[in-house]
Formats: sequence, C-alpha cells, structure tokens
Amino acid sequence: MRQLAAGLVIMVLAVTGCAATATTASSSGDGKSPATATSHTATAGTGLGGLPTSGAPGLAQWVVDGTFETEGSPAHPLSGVVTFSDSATGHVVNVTVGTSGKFSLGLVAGTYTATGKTTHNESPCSAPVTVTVRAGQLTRVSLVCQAS
Amino acid sequence: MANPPGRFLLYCITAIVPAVGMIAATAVTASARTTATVTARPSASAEAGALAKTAIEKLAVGQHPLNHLVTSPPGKPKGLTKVQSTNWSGYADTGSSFSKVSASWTEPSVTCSGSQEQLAAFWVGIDGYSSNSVEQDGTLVECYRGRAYQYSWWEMYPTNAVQVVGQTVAAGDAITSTVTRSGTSYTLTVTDSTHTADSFTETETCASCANTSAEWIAEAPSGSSSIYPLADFKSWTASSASVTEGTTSGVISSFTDDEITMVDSSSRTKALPGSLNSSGNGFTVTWERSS
Repeated sequence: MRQLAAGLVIMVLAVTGCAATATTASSSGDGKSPATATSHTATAGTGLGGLPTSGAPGLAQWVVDGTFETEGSPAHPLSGVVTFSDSATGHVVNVTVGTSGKFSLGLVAGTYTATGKTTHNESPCSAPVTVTVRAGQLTRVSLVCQAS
Repeated sequence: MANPPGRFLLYCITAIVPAVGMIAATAVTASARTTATVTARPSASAEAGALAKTAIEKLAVGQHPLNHLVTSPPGKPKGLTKVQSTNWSGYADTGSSFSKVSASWTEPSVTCSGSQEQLAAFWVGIDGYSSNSVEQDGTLVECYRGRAYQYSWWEMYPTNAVQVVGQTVAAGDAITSTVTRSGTSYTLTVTDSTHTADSFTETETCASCANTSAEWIAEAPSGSSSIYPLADFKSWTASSASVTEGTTSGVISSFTDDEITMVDSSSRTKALPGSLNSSGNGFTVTWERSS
C-alpha cells in the first residue's frame, strides 16, 4: 500500500511537471460519496452529488433550465434523458429528467446540440435543438418528443 | 525544477502510461469510471496517494470546451448586473485586456458534516466568465469524512488542473491572492501571512487567454462530471480587491461588474454575495446550502 501511494505521488508529480512545469503537486482526497438527492444525474455517474456539469473545472457554469414533453396540445411531460453535446468538442452531458418533464443543469458558455429520449426508447425522439449558453444568462430549452 | 532532466523524463514517462490508461478508462463507460474513482482511504498516510489520484483524475477529464465562443460583452454599460451560476458566487468584472486582479481574505472556518466529500474554493482570477480559460489562485477547503483539509493552489485551465501548493492553510489565516499578467506571462501569487509555507509565486504562459474578465469567487469545484457539494464555509469576505484593465486600475465597482449568486438545480441559493462595500472593493459571500 505504501508503495502504491508513493507511486501515485510520483505519477502526479511527473504529470503536473510535464503539463505545466508545476513547482509542486499534490492534491486533495478523492473519496467519492453517495449522490445527494437530486433529480439529475450526469453521464459518468460518479455519484458526487450536485448538478451535472460540463466537466470544465474553474470555468463559470450558467443555468440551463428546460422541459421535455410530448408534442401536441395539451403537451404532457416526459421522463427520460436529455443530452447536450458540445458542438465544438463533442463533449456530452446527460441529464436525467423525472416525471415532471423539467430539468436543470450548469453549462459553460458555448453552443450545444440538445436531444431527448424517453425512458423506454433507445433513440432520441426529439429533433436536435441548438442551444447557445451565454455568460451570465439563464438559458431555457424546450424539447418536444415527436410522435413516431 | 530541481530534478535532473533524466529523472524528470522518467517521471513523465512513469506518469503518462497510467494516466493514458485512466483517460481511456474514463472514456469508456459510466460504470468503468465509477469503479476507477471509488477508493478506500484506510489511513492518513495513504491520503497522499488518494490526493494524487484525484489530481490524475482531473488531468484526465479531457472534456474541455476548447473552442467555445468567446463573448466579451459589447457595449455593456458599467454597472451592476445580478446573475446566477451553478458553481460560482462573488463578483466578476468584464471587459477586455485585464492584467491584474487581487484580494485579501481571512480563511474561513468550515463546518464538515457527514461523510460526504465537500469542497469550497476561494480565489481571484482572470477569465473563465465567458471565455474558455481561467488563470486563478487562492485557497481550497475539502471536507473528507467529516474533517477539513485546507490548501493553497493555482490553476491555469485548461493547461492543467488545480495545482495544490500549501497544505497547512487553516481557518483564520491571512490570505492575499494576486494574478498579474504581462503580455502572455501570468504571475500567480498566494501569500499566507499566518502559515508562510503555504505562500508561493508561480509564473505561467498563455498566449491564447482572452483576458476578458476578472473575478473574486467562492466556487463549488467540479469533478469529472458533477459539481461537488459546497462545503459549509459560513461566510467568505474578500477585501482590498483591486483590478487593472488596460491602463486603468481600480476596484471591483470601477468596471462593469456582475454579482453572481450560486444556485442549485431548483434555483435555491447555495451561496449568496452581499453588496459591495462603500469603497467598492470588498464583499461577503454567505453559504446557504451544500447542494
């Protein structure tokens, strides 16, 4: 165990040295905790709790609120998964949507493509929606599941 | 670096192989990532390993939005705008060509409850508000199994993840953080006047950084896919805040400034910034909930 710990320390020293000629490198503990009560989960499902995120440490993340529902009138809320794909990098953030059909997450400023699929379907049932997240602004997204 | 070149190269090679493996592992499936990151920590002596693993994990995130649209606020009048973020609370000045940001604070006392890992970072920085990089330094508190660990650190994202320097930061320490830019060179300085071993100065280069914002922030740091629960820091007061944009130096209120409230998925406040003081160079962020 001691050798493993020493090895990991050497690893991080070397990686940080390679990456940024860091003067020092050690970090905080990595114990992962059970997810807190939330209606949202992220793609990786690491159980850290909190909001899904674009995984960009340090950058400001702005509120994105949305709805996922059937087409037609009246529309009905849908549960499932909404996927945000960064148009530039392809990075994906998934948000689980509960029965309310409402979801919320934080994304850094940028342009994303959002699609939704219901709990029992493998393929997205909504047309892709382009979502532009701007700094300091609330972004609202409405995804409509089209009848097949 | 004190290491001879040969040893340095060996460290790099030693690190890159497992790091690449971790990157590959984290890219495969959710279950694989979970497996890779959940590790028991049997003793305090093993913490360094766990810490290192966290750093590796962060380096391996590989989900950086490198080509995001950079949106400087054109024609935005000076004055306060209140905005909401899911991970930041504090103040940000927006504009162009920021070259210095600084503030002082007394390191908060943190209450750690339960076994859930919680984090809170206090920092000053340039960029990150609307751009795809952030040059920042400050202090960090981690609640791990009910105990608080506090650090000094810097980061040049996306070049690297958080670089922890000092590990003896404690509640009550007198901290001053500064980021200064000269051309493409950034000097990151944290001074812990109480525990001086935590102090450092680091110089880094970034040719592509936008320099379009300067911030004073209490942050809920992000992991690979989620925002960590925000550690209960009660309150964090930034004072003597200063900033330079172009050739003009001033305080927070001297430039276009946004007051940023941190909220959760239900729009409930997690951390609330108070108003700027009468000098425009200080404020207090109050913790309200962890997640």
